Amino acid sequence: MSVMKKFIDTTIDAFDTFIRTPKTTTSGKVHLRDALDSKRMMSTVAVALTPLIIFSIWNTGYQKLSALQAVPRALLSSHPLLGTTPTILNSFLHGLWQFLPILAVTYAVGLGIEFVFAALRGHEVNEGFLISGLLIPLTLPPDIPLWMVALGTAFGVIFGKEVFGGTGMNFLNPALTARAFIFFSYPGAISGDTVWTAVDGAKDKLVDGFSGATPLALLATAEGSDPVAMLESAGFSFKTLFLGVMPGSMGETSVLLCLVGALILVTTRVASARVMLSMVAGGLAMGILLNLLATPDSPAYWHLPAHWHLVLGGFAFGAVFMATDPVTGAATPVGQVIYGFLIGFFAVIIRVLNPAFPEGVMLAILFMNVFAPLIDHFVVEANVRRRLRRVR
Amino acid sequence: MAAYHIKKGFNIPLEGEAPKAVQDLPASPVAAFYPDEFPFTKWQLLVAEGERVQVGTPIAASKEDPQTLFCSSVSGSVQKIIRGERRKLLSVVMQNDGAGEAVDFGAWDSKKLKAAEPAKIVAQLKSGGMWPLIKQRPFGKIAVSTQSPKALFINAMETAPLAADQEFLLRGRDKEFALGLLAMRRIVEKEVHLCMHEECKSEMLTKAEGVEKQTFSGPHPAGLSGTHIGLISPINKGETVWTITAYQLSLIGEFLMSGKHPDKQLVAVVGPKAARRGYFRVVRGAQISNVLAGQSLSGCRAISGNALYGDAKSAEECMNWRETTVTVLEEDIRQFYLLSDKHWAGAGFKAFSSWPLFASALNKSPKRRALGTSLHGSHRAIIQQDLYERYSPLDIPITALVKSIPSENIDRLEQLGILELEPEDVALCTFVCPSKVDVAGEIAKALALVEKEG
Repeated sequence: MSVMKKFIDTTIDAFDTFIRTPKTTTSGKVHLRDALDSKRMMSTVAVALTPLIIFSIWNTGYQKLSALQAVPRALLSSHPLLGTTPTILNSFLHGLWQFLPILAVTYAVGLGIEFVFAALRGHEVNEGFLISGLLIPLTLPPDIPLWMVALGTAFGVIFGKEVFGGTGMNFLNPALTARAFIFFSYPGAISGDTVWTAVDGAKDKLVDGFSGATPLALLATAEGSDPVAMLESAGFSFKTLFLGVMPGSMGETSVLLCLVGALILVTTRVASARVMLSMVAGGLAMGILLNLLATPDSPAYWHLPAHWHLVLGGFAFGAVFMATDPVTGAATPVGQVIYGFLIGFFAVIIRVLNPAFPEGVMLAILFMNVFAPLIDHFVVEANVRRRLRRVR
Repeated sequence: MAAYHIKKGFNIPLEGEAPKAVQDLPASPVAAFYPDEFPFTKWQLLVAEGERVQVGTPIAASKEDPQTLFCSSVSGSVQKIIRGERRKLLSVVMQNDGAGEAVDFGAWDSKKLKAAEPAKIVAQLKSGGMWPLIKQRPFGKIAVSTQSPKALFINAMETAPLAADQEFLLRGRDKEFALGLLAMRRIVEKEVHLCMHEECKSEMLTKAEGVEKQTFSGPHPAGLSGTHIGLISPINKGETVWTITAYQLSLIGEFLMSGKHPDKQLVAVVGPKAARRGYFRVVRGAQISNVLAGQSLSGCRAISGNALYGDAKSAEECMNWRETTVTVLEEDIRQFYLLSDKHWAGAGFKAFSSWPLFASALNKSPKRRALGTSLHGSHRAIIQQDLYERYSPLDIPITALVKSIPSENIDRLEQLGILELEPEDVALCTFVCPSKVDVAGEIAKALALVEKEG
């Protein structure tokens, strides 16, 4: 019973502090505080994500309508949307139709778990999930079954965060943990050629007439030594990849809007530009290294100019919104450079050298999440040694 | 002489500066002794309620070093001895009869100082109750005269919001300052660093003799002794340094010159809610209501110290004995609703923040602000893990240090630099933390732990 009472208390408190600021005053010896609180900080990340979310909703709808348009009539005669010309408005509405249920399920499951844990622990409800809840749908394909979204979110929140003590104590990015769970448990729903465009029940009939393959999948199987020409002939020019009007995980396609988000996060100092830039440097370094090592017999992927890696898959999205998570990333300035660099480096290694995992960025970030405390440890130890060396 | 330019820091433009003119106030009816002002010192009470005291009568002696005395700054009688749980001494209140009777400790001049053995000078300062002005790091306790420090840091500047201006406090006290400086140079016999602002105009400071002159510029905490020590001569394990402010040094000089425990001092009354701001000459350790000329404190918080570091006091309580600033802030319990400017989701044209996350950041030349005591949010676990170091010029991994406190691993805390810190050094980290972690309070806890176990 007392747990129920606590649950009601924390829930009321969460809504109360959401609607109005608390009247708590400072105690202790420091009497002034900055106006910034964690709610404002988290909502800044949401603001940085907003352009990308709006675009991805539109893009999801647009891809769906264009895919249906491209299908020869003979194959698909009865689909209600057949022949609908995509406009900005109907694309957006159809995208919303795909996006909103996923978002709603993510928030319902994630926040539900957060509220229960807050009650059990006697904490206030933390704002962390407001961001994780936006990130999770953006990393998923539009056609993902909702029960998988629910399971993945529950796994991400519980095992990526709550078992370690909640936001601030976790060492894995909860949103990526959720995605990784879905990726390894239900690979059919989140990889391959057919999942990246939402076309309701018409998928089987579409396969022949329409290829939904993402550039990552194309590259993984490509042959020859001119991957750029191959991508371009499949309709993926550098510009297309940069702008992101193409199929993919809902929020990961537009590098341009990731850059807009990066601009917001860096100017507000909410996320570290150090991590983003060093991740780009790491990706470029590995890309160039592969170019140098490539022989004419090497897979086409090895020949891909390094800068293409930055616009492929979730690289930009991961660099801006995932790697920069201040809780799970490295904390020390030097550590952040190493951490970011290695994420970029490993993302490209995994992507190119292991075609079973076309999306290396997610794995690279999770991998480096695990190592971030170790990197920080060495940086802090260097500081400790510096302090000891002063004694002579 | 070296010049240091601090980049990592932040100035809080608090409204309510004190106009630079000194006025006398009627004498405070009481003065008090607060043992908590001297962390890690256990006191033996030397007086009983009702006992007569003069200016300079010892009230309490340190249990570790019974020669270290706290002396009354008023003549009158002991009005009240207040004890808390387990009979912990909370305060001794002395009633002031205004007669100004004073114990004569004998005047010293520079000749006598130059001829005397350092131990004699120490004994003189201790018997006159001046010794508790000198602080020692690690821990920020009263200097232990038997431990020779590696350096003395004299602080002749302030960067904390609205804190009393050392140069102004020192005006006209050239002789006192010089004599106090001479005494401390004789006692310390090691490096003496005089740390002043880059734009210091006071010739008694810029032309002081026998000291290493160091200048600092930049935002707070450029003016804290912790910053000066960290940049000039950081403390290693086993080492101690002493600190004192230039004004306190002049009080020591005044004591030596007159042979009497100084009973008056200057205090700056500042802050957006201070009804009458300015510099006032008051009894040392004067009652807050006296310093504030009877101003009502309803809806306000009076602080002995500055807004970034000090003790909240009621009107009946007294100033801390080492303090030279009293700040009055609004007790800000206003709540802001969704869609209002100062709600967390509002535009924030009126919000004050060091972060460029509010519309107010667009104003490149912000005016001074009437800030209050609102916490502006609720407590969370630390989320921004690279934040504290951005607001401290010290080479200390503050976040790692704070996060290691719950482990109570003394060795680790020492490795991470706890012995170099006093809580005030990280008060700015408390201010900026969006998770509302009281970094200064955490450091104080850690210091208490290390002092007890170490």
